[in-house]
Amino acid sequence: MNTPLEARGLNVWRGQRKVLHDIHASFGAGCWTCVVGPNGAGKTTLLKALAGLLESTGEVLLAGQPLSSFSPKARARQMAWLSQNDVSMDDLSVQDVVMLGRLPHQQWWQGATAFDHQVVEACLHAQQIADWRFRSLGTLSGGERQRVLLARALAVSAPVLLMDEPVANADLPHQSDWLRTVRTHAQQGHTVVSVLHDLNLALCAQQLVVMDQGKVVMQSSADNPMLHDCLKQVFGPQLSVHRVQDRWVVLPA
Amino acid sequence: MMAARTHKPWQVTSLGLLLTICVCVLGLTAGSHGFEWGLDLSDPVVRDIRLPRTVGAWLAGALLGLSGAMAQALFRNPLADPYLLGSASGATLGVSVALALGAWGGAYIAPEIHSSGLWVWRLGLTGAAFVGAWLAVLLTLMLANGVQHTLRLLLAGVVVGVVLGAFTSLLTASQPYLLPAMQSFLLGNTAMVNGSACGLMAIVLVLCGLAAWRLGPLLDALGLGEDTAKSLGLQVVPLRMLLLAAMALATATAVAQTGLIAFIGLVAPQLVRSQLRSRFVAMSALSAMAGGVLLCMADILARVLSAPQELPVGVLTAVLGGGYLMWRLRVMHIAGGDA
Repeated sequence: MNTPLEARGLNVWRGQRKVLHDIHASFGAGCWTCVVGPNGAGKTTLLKALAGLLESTGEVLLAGQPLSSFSPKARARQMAWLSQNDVSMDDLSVQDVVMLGRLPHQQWWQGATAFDHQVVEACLHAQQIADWRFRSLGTLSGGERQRVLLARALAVSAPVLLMDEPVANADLPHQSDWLRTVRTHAQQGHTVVSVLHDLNLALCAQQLVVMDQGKVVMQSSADNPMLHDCLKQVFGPQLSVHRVQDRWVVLPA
Repeated sequence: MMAARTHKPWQVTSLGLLLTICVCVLGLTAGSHGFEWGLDLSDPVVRDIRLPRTVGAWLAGALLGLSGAMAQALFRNPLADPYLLGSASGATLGVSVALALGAWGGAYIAPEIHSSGLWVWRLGLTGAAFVGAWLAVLLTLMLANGVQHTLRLLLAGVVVGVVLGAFTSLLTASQPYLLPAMQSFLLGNTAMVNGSACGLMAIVLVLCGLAAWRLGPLLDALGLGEDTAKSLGLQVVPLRMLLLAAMALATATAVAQTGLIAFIGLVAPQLVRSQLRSRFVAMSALSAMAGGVLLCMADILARVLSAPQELPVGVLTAVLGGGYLMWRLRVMHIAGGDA
C-alpha cells in the first residue's frame, strides 16, 4: 500500500536563498505527525511545499503519485489545508464557511448537493458549533473561529489533513477539544500533519519531525528517547523531557 | 469597523424592491418643471424620454453597484471601486480614443453622437470602454505589484486614474470637435440613454450577474486567503482575471452609456454591508439594486433641483458620494478602526 504523503529530496528556494534542504519524510495513514523546530527552521515552508502551495524541486508523492500529476481539484479532494493565516471573512455565516470545504467536490456550475449538506451538518455537530450556524464569523472569538475553520478543513473529507499552527492563540479548553478531534481523525485512518510551536502539545502526536535550519534533523516516534535528546540539541540544553502520567512533558531544566 | 445591523436578506431585498418601484415612478414623473403627478405612459415624453432615461439610470447604477461589490470582494478592500482602481478613467480614455478614431475615419462627431440609437455605435463605444477599463486595471495591478497591499493598490489606482485622465484631456484638447461630446460625457449624463443603451446594459447586467452568481462561492473562498483558496482547488489567477473582466465590462458598459458617474460603485456595496452581512452572491445582487436606486435618485435630484435647468448627474453623485466618503473616514478616525 502506498504511503499517503511523502517528500523525497524536497528543496525550496526563496530567491537566491535555499530554505529547505533535501527533505525526506513520510507520513503514514492513521498517523498524526507533528513538525517542530525553532523559529525559521522551515516548518511552514515544508507544509506549504507538501501542499503544493510553493514551488519546489524534488518530489512530493500523494498516495504514491507525484503531486504534479493531480489536477488542482483532484489534489484538493486528497489533501485538506488549514492555515494559521486563514483570513476569515467576517461577512460569512459559520455554515457558509464550513460549506466552502465542499468546493473541491462541486463543479463550478453546480451548487451544493444533499450529500454536501449532510457532510457539513456532521462537521458542525462534530465541532459542537451547530448552534452558531447562522452567526457571522465576525461575531466569534478567536478560539471559536478556529473551531469553525477546522470544521471547514474537515468538511473537505480528504485522506490527508495539513495544519499550520491550528491552535495559535487558543486557550486550554480549545486546545483540548482540538487534540481530541485530531486524534479521532487519525484513528479513522486519516493522515494528519501539523506544525506546532507548543512542544507539550506536539509530544501528544504519534510521530515528530524535528527541523532545524531548513533540514529534517530527525523523524521518529514521540516515545523515542533519542528524539528527546534531539529536541534538546535543537532547542537548547535548557529543556528536559519527562514522563508525567501517560504523556511526555517538556519543562525548562 | 462600522457596526453592521443584522437584517435578513429578504428584508433588505424587499426594501430594495420597494425603493426601486418608488424611484422608477418618481423618475417617470420628474420633468423639467418639477414632478408631474398625472402619469400617462402613452405620452411620448414619458414613453420615449423619461422611461428609457429612468430605466437606463437604474441599469447603469446597478452595473456600477455590481462592479463595486466585485471590486471590494476581489481586493478584500471596502474602499475599492471602479473609480479608485482606475477602470472608469480607462473606460473614458477608451471612449475618447474611439470617438477620435471615428472622427479621423470620417464620422461626424456631434455632441449627441453617443446618444445615437445605433447599436453599432453603442457596441463600439462599449468595446472601446471595456478595453480601456481592462488595461487600466491591469496597469493598476502591475504598479501595485498585486492586491496584497491596500495602500499601494489605492495609490496605484489614483495614479493610473490621474494619468489616463490627463491623456483624455490631451486628446480632447488636441481634437476640438470632440469637446462638446466629451464634456457631457465627463460630467456624466443619463439624458444620453435611450432604448438601445438600456438593452445593452440589461444584457451586460445579466451576464455579469450570472458571473457573480456562479463565481460567488469561489470568491467567498478567496476571502479565506490565497493559500486556502488554492488548497480548495481554485485556480486563483484565472478566477481573478475572470472577475476583473466582469468588473471592467460592467464599469465600461455603464460609463459608455452615461459617462463618468462617480462613487455609486463605492457607496452602494457599503450601504448594503451596513445593513447585512452575507455571502457574495447576496451582497452583489443587493449592491446592484442599491446602485440602481442611488443613481435613479441622483438622476431625479439632478432634474428637479434647479428645474428647468438640469444638473449633470455625475457632478451630483461626486458631491454626494464624496461627502459620504468624508463622513466614513471621519467615523473610521473616531472609531480608530478600519473601513
